[in-house]
Amino acid sequence: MTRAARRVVALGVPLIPIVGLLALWQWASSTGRIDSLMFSRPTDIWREVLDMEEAGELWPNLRSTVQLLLVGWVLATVIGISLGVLIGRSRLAGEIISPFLTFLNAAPRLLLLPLLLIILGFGPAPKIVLVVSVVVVVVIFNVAAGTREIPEAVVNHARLLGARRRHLFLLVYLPAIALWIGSTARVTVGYAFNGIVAAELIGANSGLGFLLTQGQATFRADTIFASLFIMAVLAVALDQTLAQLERRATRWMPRPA
Amino acid sequence: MTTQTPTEHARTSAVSRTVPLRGGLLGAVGRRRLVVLAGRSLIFLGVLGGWQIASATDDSVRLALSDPQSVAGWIVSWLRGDEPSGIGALGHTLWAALVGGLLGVAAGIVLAVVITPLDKIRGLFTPLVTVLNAVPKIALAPLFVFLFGLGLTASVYYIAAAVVFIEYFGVSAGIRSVNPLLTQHVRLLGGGRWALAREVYLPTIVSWLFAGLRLCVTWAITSAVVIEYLGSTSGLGYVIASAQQISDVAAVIGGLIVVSAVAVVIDQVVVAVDRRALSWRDA
Repeated sequence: MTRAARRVVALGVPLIPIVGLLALWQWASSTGRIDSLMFSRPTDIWREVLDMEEAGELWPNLRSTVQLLLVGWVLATVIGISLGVLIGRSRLAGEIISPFLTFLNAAPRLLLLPLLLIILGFGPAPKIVLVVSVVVVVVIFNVAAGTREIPEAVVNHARLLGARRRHLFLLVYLPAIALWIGSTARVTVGYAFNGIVAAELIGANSGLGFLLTQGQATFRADTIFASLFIMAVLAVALDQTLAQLERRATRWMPRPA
Repeated sequence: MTTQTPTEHARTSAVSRTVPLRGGLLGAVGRRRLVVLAGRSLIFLGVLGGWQIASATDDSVRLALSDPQSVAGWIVSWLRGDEPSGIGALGHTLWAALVGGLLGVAAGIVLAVVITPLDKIRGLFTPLVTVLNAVPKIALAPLFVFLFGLGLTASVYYIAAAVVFIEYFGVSAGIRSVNPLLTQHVRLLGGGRWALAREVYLPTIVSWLFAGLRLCVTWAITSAVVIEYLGSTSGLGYVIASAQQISDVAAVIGGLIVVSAVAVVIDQVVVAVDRRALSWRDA
């Protein structure tokens, strides 16, 4: 095989199950083996996506979702770093706070939204707070673990060279934490995505989750599946971007075999 | 006592010498524990006190957040079964979480066992699984309510869909982590396909299964409550949703506290079982 042919095979073969599944879906729905009113069919869903674009519903809602997701994620990361470093460096603080964190971690935080809507009203604030509440606990755990893993010798060495608290944070803790934030970003962004969609499903008038509830309210399977399709595309795009960034950022590191 | 080594003896005598001198009844360990306990109580009481004071002095806070007594009162009356959807709602939620969780775990195992060997062929299924897993699980809730109506069926399928990939990835990683030397060794000793499955793959899969279980349990309970909240006529999620509709904030917060407390207890049980079941591994 030539090089080009090998590339085509490498890219094409994994598409077989996806295309197969879509074809099966299309065929079953068109021949009435599954109810097309309930399960729709791939061609109708694609047409619905195009309709959404034409009606000007696609891009504004997509933008709203991405914006709130990113704002929430960044806020959660900043808060998570400050609390995580505290817990990671001070065993006493860690011991005091840990039961509260365990409680928060196990609590279904997605359900905080009704409460947040009452407190913060409609608008972007409750959605962002929900995303933060979903993501922050995970970030705290990750940062605490990352801080704890810094060898004491490195810290002592930096101190010996005259590093103050500020230098220690910037030159020792932050790089170690950045590594952890980066390597867990794919998971935490996934959590954030869940959080923002939950917020949009329950109380919103914009965003991809809102498009989905509109489909549900008007009993249109096309709209529901089209919204899910857009979410899947967005999720895969985010995930692949982060994976690429991570690969770039950690290129200097020795690869585990 | 007679078999005490010299260093141990020195340590115990050192402790008995220093304790009465420095801390009275409490040793260093005891004092530390006291500080931790004090810190925890301080945070707990601070939050509770702040809530109480704020709701007593500001009416808008009381409307938004109720106050500690009303919430405690609601929880007590709920526990007694005085509320319209009492303890039975909890049973309904946990039953859905259990059935849906088991279904999802079983489906995850089957998928992993079938797909992992096939996936070795140029990553045949990797993109499909990536795409399916990438959809935010929460977004599937309206779809399942649409497809299966309000009720247990939608809950069970939704919960299964929410946890299936956790165990799929766990078991799949487990299968791939099996050391080829081990399988070759079993083959060399005359073990067939069946012996390989039972002696090599099963133990590996079980330990990876346990690793994902904690996450599965948390997600199953959360998902159960979420779908009950979004579209159901029973369960704790429905209790919270209907309380919200009549602006009964005490019941909303009370319901959230009950759900979280139950989730924490079950999570801790899973951790304890986990430690027991896997204690042979690190030893």
